[in-house]
Amino acid sequence: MPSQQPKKVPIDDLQSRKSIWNSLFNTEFIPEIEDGAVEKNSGLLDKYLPDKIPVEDLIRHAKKG
Amino acid sequence: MNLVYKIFAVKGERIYLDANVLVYYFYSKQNQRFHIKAKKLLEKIENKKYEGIISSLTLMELIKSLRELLIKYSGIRRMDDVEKIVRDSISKLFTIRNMYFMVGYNEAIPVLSETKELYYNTVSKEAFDIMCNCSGKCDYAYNSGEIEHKGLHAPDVFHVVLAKKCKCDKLATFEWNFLQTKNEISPIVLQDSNAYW
Repeated sequence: MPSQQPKKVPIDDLQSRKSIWNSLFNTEFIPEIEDGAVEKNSGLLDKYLPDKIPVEDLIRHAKKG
Repeated sequence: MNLVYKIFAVKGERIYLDANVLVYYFYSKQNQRFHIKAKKLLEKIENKKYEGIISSLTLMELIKSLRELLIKYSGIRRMDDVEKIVRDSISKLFTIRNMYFMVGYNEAIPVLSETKELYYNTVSKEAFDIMCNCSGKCDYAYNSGEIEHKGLHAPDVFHVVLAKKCKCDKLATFEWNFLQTKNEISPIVLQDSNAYW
């Protein structure tokens, strides 16, 4: 079993969410939570990419840098 | 006796997401089975069965993977266009309910002045120790058949430590190598039939 973890506290990611968003988009605006967002954006990149490309190889390459 | 390592995620647990989960969520064509697993996990997070954690390290890997995918296979050559697609995709993750974003910096821990601004200053020693303890194995590559080392990459080890720092209960991934770190944090390898979530 994994080593004992300290007790969890409720997550407040407001500052880190803002920080990451600002690095990516350089704006204050952060989109709101949307109902059904997972379904809506599932396979979002399919339209840009052909079938059967070696995703696993690419992910490994990304990890190696 | 050959023991099977079974893992169970329960309602309310905090789950750290590896970048491959997000890549397979955004791209369904290469491996439909993995895409469905990734989507199902995100839906369970959205429906509040679990809390989802995305670290800045996960986003870095995701950005690099999407840039490589798009440049190599989409036919798009202008970097501005590639970058727009990458960032638009990532922005959608911010709209998922119960998904939390973590970028770490702990000012309470004294560090050398030279490393004070280093992203990994609070996790690097722990990550290094895990890397030393998880040596991996010698095996054949699934595509080329050549002998190779199969084991954790350095960023994988940082994921483990970041997941622990974020007090996650599980780490969700498609990478089998994370099973080596089950003594640090329980990995949910999403395609593993012995992982129940």
